[in-house]
Amino acid sequence: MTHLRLIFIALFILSLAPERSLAGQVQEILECLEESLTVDHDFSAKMVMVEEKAGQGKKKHELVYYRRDSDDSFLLVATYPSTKKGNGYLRVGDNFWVYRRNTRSFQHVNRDESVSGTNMKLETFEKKKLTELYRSDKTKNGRDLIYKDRLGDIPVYKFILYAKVKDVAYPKQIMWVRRDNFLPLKIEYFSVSGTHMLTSLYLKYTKIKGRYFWIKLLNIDEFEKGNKTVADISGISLAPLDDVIFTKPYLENLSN
Amino acid sequence: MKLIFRIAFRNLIRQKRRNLLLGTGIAFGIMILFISQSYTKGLSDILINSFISSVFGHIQVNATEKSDRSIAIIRDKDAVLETIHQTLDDVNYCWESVSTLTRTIGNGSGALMLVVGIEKHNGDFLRSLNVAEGDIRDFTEERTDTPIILYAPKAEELNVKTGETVNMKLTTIYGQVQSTRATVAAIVKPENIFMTMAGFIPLDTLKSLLGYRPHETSRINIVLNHIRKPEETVAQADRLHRAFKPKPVFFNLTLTGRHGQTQALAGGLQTQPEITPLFLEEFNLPTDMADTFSADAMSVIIGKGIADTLQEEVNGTLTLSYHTKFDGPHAPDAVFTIRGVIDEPSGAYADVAFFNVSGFYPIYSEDLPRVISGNDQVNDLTTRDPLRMALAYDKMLLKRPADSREWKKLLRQINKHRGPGTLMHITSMNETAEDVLKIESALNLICIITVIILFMIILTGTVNALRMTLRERTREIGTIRSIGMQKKHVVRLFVIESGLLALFASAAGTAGALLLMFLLTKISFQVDNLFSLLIDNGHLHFLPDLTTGLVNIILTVAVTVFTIWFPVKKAVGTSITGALSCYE
Repeated sequence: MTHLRLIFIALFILSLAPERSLAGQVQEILECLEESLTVDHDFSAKMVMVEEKAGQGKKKHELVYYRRDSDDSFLLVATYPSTKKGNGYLRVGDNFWVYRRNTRSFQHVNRDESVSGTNMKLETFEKKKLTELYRSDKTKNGRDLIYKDRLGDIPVYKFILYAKVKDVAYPKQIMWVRRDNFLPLKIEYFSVSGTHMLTSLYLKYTKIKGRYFWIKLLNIDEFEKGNKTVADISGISLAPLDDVIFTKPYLENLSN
Repeated sequence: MKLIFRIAFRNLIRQKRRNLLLGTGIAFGIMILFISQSYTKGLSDILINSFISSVFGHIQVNATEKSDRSIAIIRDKDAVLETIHQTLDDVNYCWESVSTLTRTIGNGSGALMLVVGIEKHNGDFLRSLNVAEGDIRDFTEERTDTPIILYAPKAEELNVKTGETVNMKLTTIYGQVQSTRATVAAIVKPENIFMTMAGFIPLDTLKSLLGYRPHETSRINIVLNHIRKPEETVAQADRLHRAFKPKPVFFNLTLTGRHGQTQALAGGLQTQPEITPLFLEEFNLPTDMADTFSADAMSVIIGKGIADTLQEEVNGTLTLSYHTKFDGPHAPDAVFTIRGVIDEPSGAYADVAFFNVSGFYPIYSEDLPRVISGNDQVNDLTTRDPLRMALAYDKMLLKRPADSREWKKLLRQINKHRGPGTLMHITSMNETAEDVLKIESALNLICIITVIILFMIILTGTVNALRMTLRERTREIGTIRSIGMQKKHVVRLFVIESGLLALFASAAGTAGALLLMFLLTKISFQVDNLFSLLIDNGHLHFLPDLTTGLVNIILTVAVTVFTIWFPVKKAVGTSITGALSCYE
């Protein structure tokens, strides 16, 4: 009888643990993820970000978002509030630029630059480059470490990624991606010292010409509790974008 | 003459009340003048030798590395310090300027805070802090993990007391998010309004958090021995600028190919279109090779000796390893493609590998190798024209800015610069702290103008009183003339009498000023606003200069003598009977 009880307890403990760990699949998952999130078609959309800070209420930001994954470009132009109207963020080639309307100047920045002072970073809006920027956590045998898990009712893969390069805001992240279509659902970001700083929840995706694109994203600040930002993307247009849109003069003229 | 002096002196004593009043007027004017002069000098001293030297240093050595981002980084701190001490004679001390803006969370509230790294042995600074709560030894002895010193207003804003912790979020120099928890070691009272923004943690801890290694730092500030004028720092900065002459980079490494390894001398080559023909011709390589070499950052041109030893040819690949200056052997995770093999008759390049500077420089700067200098082969390579102009140098030394405007232009130039390499520039307080110095100049000017106006009012009144006195003494002139004193002796008598009066009065005024300044420095002021810049550690700071005091005395005597000369001449010019019958 005692043995039977022990077996039941062991089975119960095992049922609480992640289903099982796999090895050697992260690279493939990241490649599938990047492919499914790369939109082969130009698009533009309206983005509303609502920033909530503890004790400071809510702030609304509106931006126009242009993106072209074929040459890895995007443009974000602020339209609201009036104090930030005309400010823009441009990615072209390997360069990120911020345009500030007040000073009428461009500043060369990196992908860790925040958008409109929120906890959304520029890297959120570029084509996913996980295979280029991150490597997976390895087992002792040097194989990728990956777990089968559940996020609510959704079966997911969970794995840890470490930055291969220094040009990323967070050197470590834990990802939960759907098992069926490899879309990321949740990402936890960690600082250099290993502190959990931010959680991103991808709440809603839409399909653009067979590829996926997130349209609702919630960033929860884990460092300063109570701070969060929700980004909503709507009004997606698939009309082809002129090359001139992804240029500095265009952003400057648009702002003026 | 001696007799005239005696009579003049006796006259001074004889008319006690009148001379005392006149003397007091002159002494008061001189006192005000000397105090104001000493105060403005003290103010300059506070700004130059206290405020500016502690915030900017008198001279700054700056290095910016340009890769994906701009990083303020001096890779070999000790080498820079050695050059500073070898070049400049009157260095008081050098300090590493490392600071960053953080988001700091206390008990239920957060704030932006500038965190400054302070050396634990910096006793002068730590002793100067006015501790309100806690113990500085908790900081110096690091009794807790990451101790932090906060100013009282910031501690209040964060709602923390000593022994409690704050969480800080910052960004490393490479742009990554960093966080740490710090324990409040002490809370100190701010000396001025600017200080309330800052918090202090040990320098080594901050450097590590920001991603600097022990041999690296952000900027080195140099404090010279007592500086009187900002211009004095310019010549010293110019000397230092000349000492940091860029040198071509060469070091020994091991190249590994598919068939083995070999030792080689490594250097870098620039790839601008106007530069590539310079070395291709020298290497006897086809000009169309320039495109392939320049287009790929991971390109290398090797000597024939290396190619033969490794049995490699064009389009083969090589990896490298070398001894670093600080961290022992190092094998960078980089593969270079051979774009050309140098086969020229002199054989000077047989064991040399020239890398594309874009791929070469990040490897070199990230883990500094033991750079060879004084080697015959290196000397030969670095003096060969036109190759010399194509080589990669350890840094690009930017022109010394002449003033604040040029300095700001230089910063814009650094910001716009693209491409690998370190941009170094030397600045002095004359450029970097020009705005603060302008405040000092403006304060000085206001002070001097006010004093001159005040002094002129007092002097005019006093001298006028002196002239009135002279008119009253016309009959006395008549009397001494009637008993036989010559005109020129009468003039001398009155001039000497007035001169002596001005001399004694201004000397007394100077002495009084010294006494008053001594007493004023004993008064303690509690100021935590902008005016705190005008005081030194809660006290007025005077810097009396005895030469200035002496000049004041001489000037006062001269003005008095000059003013009295003409009325005396006129009075002496009248007839004896006219003078004797004169009533005022």
